[in-house]
Amino acid sequence: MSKFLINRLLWLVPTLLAIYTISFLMVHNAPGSPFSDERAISDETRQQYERIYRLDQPLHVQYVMTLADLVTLRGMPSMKYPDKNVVSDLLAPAFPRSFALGLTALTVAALVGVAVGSYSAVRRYSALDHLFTGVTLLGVSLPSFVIGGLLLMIFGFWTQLLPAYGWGSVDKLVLPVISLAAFPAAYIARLTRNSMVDVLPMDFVRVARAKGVPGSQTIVLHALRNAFLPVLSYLGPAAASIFTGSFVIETIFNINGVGHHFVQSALNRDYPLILACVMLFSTLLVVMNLLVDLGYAALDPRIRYD
Amino acid sequence: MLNLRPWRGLAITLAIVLLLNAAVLYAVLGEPAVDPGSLRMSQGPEIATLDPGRMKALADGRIASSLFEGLTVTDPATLAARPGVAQRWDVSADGLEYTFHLRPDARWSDGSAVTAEDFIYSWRRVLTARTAAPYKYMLYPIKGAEAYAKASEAGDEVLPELGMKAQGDNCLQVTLERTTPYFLSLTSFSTYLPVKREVVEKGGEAAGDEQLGWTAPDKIVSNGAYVLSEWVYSDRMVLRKNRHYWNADAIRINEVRVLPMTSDAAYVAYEKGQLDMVTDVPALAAEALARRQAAGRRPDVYLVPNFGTYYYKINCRQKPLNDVRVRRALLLAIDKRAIIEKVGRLNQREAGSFVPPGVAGYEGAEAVERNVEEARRLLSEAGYPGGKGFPRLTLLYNTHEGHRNAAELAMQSWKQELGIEVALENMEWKVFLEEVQKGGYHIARSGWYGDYIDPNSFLDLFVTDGGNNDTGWSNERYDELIRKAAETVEKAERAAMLREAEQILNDQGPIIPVYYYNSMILVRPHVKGFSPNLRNEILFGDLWIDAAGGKGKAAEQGEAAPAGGSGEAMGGGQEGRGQGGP
Repeated sequence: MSKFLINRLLWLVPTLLAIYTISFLMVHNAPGSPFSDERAISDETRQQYERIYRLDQPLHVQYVMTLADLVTLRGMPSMKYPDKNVVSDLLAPAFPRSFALGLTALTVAALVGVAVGSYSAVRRYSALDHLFTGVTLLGVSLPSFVIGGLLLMIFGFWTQLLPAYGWGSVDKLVLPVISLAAFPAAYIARLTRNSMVDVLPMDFVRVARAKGVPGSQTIVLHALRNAFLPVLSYLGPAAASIFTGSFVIETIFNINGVGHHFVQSALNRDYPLILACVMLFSTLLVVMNLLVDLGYAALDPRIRYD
Repeated sequence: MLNLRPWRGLAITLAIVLLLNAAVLYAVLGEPAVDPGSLRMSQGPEIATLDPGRMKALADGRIASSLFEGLTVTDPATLAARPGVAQRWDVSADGLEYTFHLRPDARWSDGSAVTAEDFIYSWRRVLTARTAAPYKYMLYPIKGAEAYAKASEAGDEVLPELGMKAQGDNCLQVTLERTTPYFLSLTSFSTYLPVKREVVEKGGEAAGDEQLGWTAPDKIVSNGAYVLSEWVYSDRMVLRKNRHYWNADAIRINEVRVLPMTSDAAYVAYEKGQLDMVTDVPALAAEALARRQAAGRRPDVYLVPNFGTYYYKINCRQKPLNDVRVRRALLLAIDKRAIIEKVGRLNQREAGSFVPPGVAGYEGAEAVERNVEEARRLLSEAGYPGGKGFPRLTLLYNTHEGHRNAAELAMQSWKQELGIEVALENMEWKVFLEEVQKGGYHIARSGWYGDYIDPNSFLDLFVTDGGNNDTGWSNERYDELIRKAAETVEKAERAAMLREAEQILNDQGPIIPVYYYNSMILVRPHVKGFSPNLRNEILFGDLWIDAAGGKGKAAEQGEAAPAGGSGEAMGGGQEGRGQGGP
């Protein structure tokens, strides 16, 4: 087990390095300049910008220096917001918000999704199962801006039951959490249902029943424990993407999170910020995937990492 | 009895997950305390910088003019220069020598005195190549400034003398390169604002000697009505009254909260009474608000004419657009009214020429009226009767719904009236800029806001090889007029020259002006002292809140227009100079 862990941790380094290298090259070859604007700046002024942001250095020097700035979390000034350091001023205040929002949404999604999916599988073809199937189909098909927009109209404007935008208190969190959780909840429900339908007729479930294990215990602790594995593999990458914010949800509910940076930094050609965002996401992704693998071993005794 | 033991593992796992989640929320949530007497405003997305020397956008300049005070201050009501740090000034008869008398009680927010040397340092800093100030040319009216900037860019060891001299702490003598009738207004512009040397040079730790990062709330020192107390990116900027400000007694609003928001959220917050002022209103809501304002039902809505023009530029380098007759045909055939009514929708004024109205003492060129007959005649004279044999042109715009709709209407005018086929092409903002700047277009969408209220701020765009003249158009007489006007002291004579230049622009058609920008500003009735103006200048220090007016809801509510139509980014927001959409 520890050997597996060390092995995996060592693999993180080349993986992240490869992602960094590809992103670095793509960013530097993107058309358009970070410093261009409707009002042209002189070539001399542009050269000064290039000096300030090291773009005048050979590419490999920039490659190494930017990597060092990111790895040490020292960061560097943003090109669009020169007063702000991309790590300490831009990502550091925004990430906790996206993370808190994403974690809550994901918890809600997992609880609701697994409960709905299991119920549907156990009471297959019941009226509720049909209803759930319909609702989850909607959940996976409707884009988040439609769900967010609808919730905003209904609860934020018509009934005014909940605040329409902003950040700071729990009631302001309700609408964005629901909008953000809708897709993963529906997806997890469908995954759980399919997987449970396969697992329920299996021998070990029947054995448990035959031994006289109570029904709920058979379903949750025996069948679901197995059926949860596909959900777990989905949760890893889903967590990475949800923790790093949703541009759409953040825009609709005016939440200052990282999702905004992912999109705006690319539009602004803000090289340091693009790279910082990409590395933040990739690091989360590989770490989450590692956690998923560890989770597998915990859930399924047949899986061993020797 | 139900055996609970087997459930223990699951229960513990769930409890840990939920507790963890609650702990994270507890750590992250929380709302800052707000001073009840504060002015809460939103001017759209976050500003780019608080370093006045490096500013480009109007929204940035607005914050700067409340944090820093120049020699003069542009009065929002009149747009004339009024005393700032300079309590009075003398101008020599030839208009070349300015002597500014600084008030002895002018202070930085750390209590130290603002001196003439501070201005000399700040202006020299802008002209120094390393600062990379995008608007350094605003200082070029000062004697030697342009030569200094060029020498600094070339890396010369010996730099030319600059026409500025301190006579003691409180007297600054400025010599100009040439008479500049609008020089006094320039001294209130962000590029001219003073910064404190020790603070700037210490800079931010991360950025070393690049003078970045000194604008953080714990480092910045300013000399205006307000000081920066908090600045959390895209969340809030809090300005507090500067107790060292010489006129602090006259400042009635103690705290200003500038809240970066999408225009949709800002509009909702305003209608709910959570904002006192909004300068970026979503397009759909703006249209409905404009109607109600016109009906006299929303006195809190200001529809403000701006000093800006929405136009198309024409690449004059290649056939058939190198033919004046073809360009004029395009200009005469376009239906501006339709674009305003269907796309602009804010009752914009049709642009008959490039310079927007509003400059005192300047009467613009004769407005170009739509004349389809004449357009057809010119086109056939150029060898394309009824559009026959006319090559297919492309109209390029940056990706944005409004620009697309406007372009479709332009295309329609040309097809219907002239029989010309024009294809539309959109590009993402940064790619669009690159294409246009290297001349890779036929016709391109454009916009321009004047930096100062003078026709020159528009007309000097189109001098031969001007940095912003992407059209390849060049006219000797035009260049000569612009050059001569800059040297002319007599106001009427100068205005006549500029008018002739603008007329040449109309006759030669390197551009197709469509409309003059309008913007909408919402100000709750209890906020007093607001004066709408061409440049959307707002000085927070000039405002006050009338407590009797209460902080109630807007004059009329419940009729809120749907907050749809998100303000898509066009690269820098509506008020980024020259970048605004329809």
